[in-house]
Amino acid sequence: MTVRAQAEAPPLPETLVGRTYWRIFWRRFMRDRVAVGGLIVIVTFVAMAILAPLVAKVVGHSPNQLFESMRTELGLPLGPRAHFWFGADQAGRDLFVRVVYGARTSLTVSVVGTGIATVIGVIVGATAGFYGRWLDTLISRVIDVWLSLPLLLFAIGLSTVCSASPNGCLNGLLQPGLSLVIGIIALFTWPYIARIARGQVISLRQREFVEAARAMGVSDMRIVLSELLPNLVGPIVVYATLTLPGNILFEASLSFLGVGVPQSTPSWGRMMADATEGSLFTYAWWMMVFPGLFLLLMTFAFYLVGEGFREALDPRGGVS
Amino acid sequence: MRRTWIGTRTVRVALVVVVVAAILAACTSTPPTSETTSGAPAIKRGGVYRVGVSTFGNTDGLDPTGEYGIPGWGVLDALQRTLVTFRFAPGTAGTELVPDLATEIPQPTDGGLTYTFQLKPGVKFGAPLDRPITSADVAYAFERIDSRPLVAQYGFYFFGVIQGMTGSAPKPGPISGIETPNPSTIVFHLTHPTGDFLYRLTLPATAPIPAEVAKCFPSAGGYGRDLVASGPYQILGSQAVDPSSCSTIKPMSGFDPVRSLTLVRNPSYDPATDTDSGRAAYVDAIEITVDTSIADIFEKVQTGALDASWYDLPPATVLQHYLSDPTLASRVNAFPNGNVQFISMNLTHPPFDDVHVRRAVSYIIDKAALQKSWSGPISGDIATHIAPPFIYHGQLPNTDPYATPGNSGSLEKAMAEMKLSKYDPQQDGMCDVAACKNLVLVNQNIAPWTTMEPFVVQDLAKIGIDVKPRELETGAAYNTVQRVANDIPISMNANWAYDYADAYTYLLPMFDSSSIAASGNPNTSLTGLTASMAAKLGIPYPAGGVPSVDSSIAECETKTGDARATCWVGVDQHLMEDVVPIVPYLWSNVIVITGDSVTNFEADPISQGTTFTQVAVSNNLPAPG
Repeated sequence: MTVRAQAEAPPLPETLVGRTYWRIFWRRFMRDRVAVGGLIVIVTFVAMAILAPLVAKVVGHSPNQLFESMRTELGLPLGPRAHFWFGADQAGRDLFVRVVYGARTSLTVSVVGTGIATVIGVIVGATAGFYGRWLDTLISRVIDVWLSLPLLLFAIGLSTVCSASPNGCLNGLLQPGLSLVIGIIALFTWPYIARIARGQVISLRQREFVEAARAMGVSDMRIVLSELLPNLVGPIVVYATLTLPGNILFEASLSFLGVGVPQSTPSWGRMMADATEGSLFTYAWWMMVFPGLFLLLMTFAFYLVGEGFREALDPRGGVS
Repeated sequence: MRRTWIGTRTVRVALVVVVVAAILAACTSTPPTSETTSGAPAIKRGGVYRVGVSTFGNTDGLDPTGEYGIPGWGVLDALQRTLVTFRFAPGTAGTELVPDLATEIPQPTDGGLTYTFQLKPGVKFGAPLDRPITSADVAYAFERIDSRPLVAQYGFYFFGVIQGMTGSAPKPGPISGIETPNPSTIVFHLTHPTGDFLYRLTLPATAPIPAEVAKCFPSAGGYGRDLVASGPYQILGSQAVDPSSCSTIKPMSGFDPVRSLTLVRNPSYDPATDTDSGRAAYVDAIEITVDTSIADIFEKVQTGALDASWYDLPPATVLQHYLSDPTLASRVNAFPNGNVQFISMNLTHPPFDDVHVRRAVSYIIDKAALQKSWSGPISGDIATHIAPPFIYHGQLPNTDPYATPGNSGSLEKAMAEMKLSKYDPQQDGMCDVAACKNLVLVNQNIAPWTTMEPFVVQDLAKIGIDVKPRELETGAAYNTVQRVANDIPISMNANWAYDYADAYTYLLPMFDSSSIAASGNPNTSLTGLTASMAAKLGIPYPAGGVPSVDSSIAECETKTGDARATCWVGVDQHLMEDVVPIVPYLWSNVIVITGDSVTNFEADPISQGTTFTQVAVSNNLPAPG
């Protein structure tokens, strides 16, 4: 019986492998085929964005090149055909090349905007959580007020005001266009990240390793940077990844409403807005379908990856 | 200039109606009685003309004293009569000034300083007054114009022109330059001879207004909801208004300023007193409904729920639908509205302070592409000078100082002109200096302006001018450009049209230094700006100065008839060739889609879109109320 039991026990590995936190995370993530699929799509979009000039060169059309031959006598755009795979827009520009370039805009705006928001959010949230007391109260109330603002309306107002002045806003710091949209996204995203950072720091600051560091006379700054920040990375990365698609859509929404990027900067939202001018999409379906499809794919991919990150970092997610 | 999202004014002149030929023949010769002498079928009277519009766009709630909006003038045209008017007729016949309330058009006396009018007997106000119109009612209209609280938006045509009118009166009161010796006589005394004074008396604000009702509305806009008619139509519900005291006057039920307006026949209107104007008043009622969805309006016209669109430009997709079907093409009515669309350059702002740069811009712009962005030739003719040709009575035919093959722009000519500029030190035909980089270009954020934008940006880049477009909501775009301190170098949002058929209404507000104002400035190129004015406005003044046409305009203003038109032609040519403040690219059309129920359609002599007194329908609908 004993012999049999020994024979049925699982074989022990020859050597025990020590895995880091991030390695465990990565193994878990790679098991999630849906999330990996999303990652592949994102990588493809990133490659598309980087290689956009090359695509334009191969096709032979730049994103702002105007082709009168691609407009009818009434000024209506012509649809997909050889050399214009996605057809043309209302100004006779190659929609395929513009859609490829649109990936640049979406990725730039969302990644940079989210990045700025993350930095601000972590600094503010960690400060509130670490020092507590009146500073925590003050920052928390500011965040509450900030989050109560009607985001889209405020963004439209800000964008309009900055566009109405020839010099933009803040002495020219915020110029209408890409920088303004990035600024707006950062402005309205940081409070969410700050709340998460604050909560994490509050739970971490009483832990033994922090107490030990304090007992050793380590400075506050070093405690935050060396002890707390590494522990914040996981949840912040997850949240930022899940925020990205929202910000992609936010840029598209602003551009759709005519307060986003200028039309010389290809943007999927702007392209869809152009399609709605005079119900143009009822004739030029391609102006709505192609940018809409790419927008859907990119946001969906980011959501999948974000969800994959979240599950891979979840301590209840099972042993690898 | 009246501003709406599509432009400003229309004109009685040059009405190109593209309705079926038989109907056109009928409408050009049909007297108000609907009988014809040409053998064409008589136009049937009756029915209700139903139109949809995205917004009324009223600037003063339809109060004639201050209303300066396109739709408002169209409605007032059906509700009111003035001392004189342009004949209600298409083509050149519509340029003829005819008496309306007046028995005849008077000759000025006293060296052009005095105009005396006799009023026709038997002309009455509609409900709720139903009383004869007197000279005091005409005088009261001018007293309202002169009253500051009532904000007469085009009072400048009379301030400083009629003696005693300054626009600063605290309330309506006697004007020293207007006499009413008896109920049927009114005399105007001018401060200086004004060649187009009679034209100015066609403006809606000069129509008679009854003091007993209008006095109850001491601030701007209020009277519009209780306007007492003098024309063939009145607002539905006029009869229900009790004018016995101000407290009993309630808004007429037929006018909801944000939803609808219904006009019905004015029973006090006697066609026998209106034999000169050509008003026909075919339909029994006019129903105007606001529908914020332009696509919905055209859908309803197609299904027959509406008889026609009004002044909303049909999208290219709608035009494509109609024009590609021979059975529908005749329902597209396109006609000039006197509106010139242009790109404006700031004469004080480098590099546009150099006339060679401005000429280079004039050569490089692909006007054909811009026209196509407006839906092609049906949207209007390519502009080759400032005011449309009909304004000059044929004295400025086919003049184009910047002609290029196919109107598509000429890089060769533009570069040759640029080489003459101080901003091309390398003499390569490109603007080489920093002054040509990062220039703000203000534009509207709606089509067709957004569609045109890449063409303008690309064209300017060909000669080294790098612009940064700012696409703004229509009102914000105007406000930004018209605030001088913003120092906008170049803009493409603006357009201009006339208030009456005379070049004065283009050239003075657009290019005379007297029209330059710190905000709401219509002279966006700042033509005629002086150094002292620049200092007051807080903008830099170019070392080479700014050209002026003030003296030329002043000279033309005193002339009359053909001499006046010839004079204006000279100013237009001088502006285009020597000053070059703007690049006019389109004399845009108004395009109205009518349903098959419309049996007669004419473009409006005063407003933009439709002459309500001249339309006829076959729907046999009963008039409301």
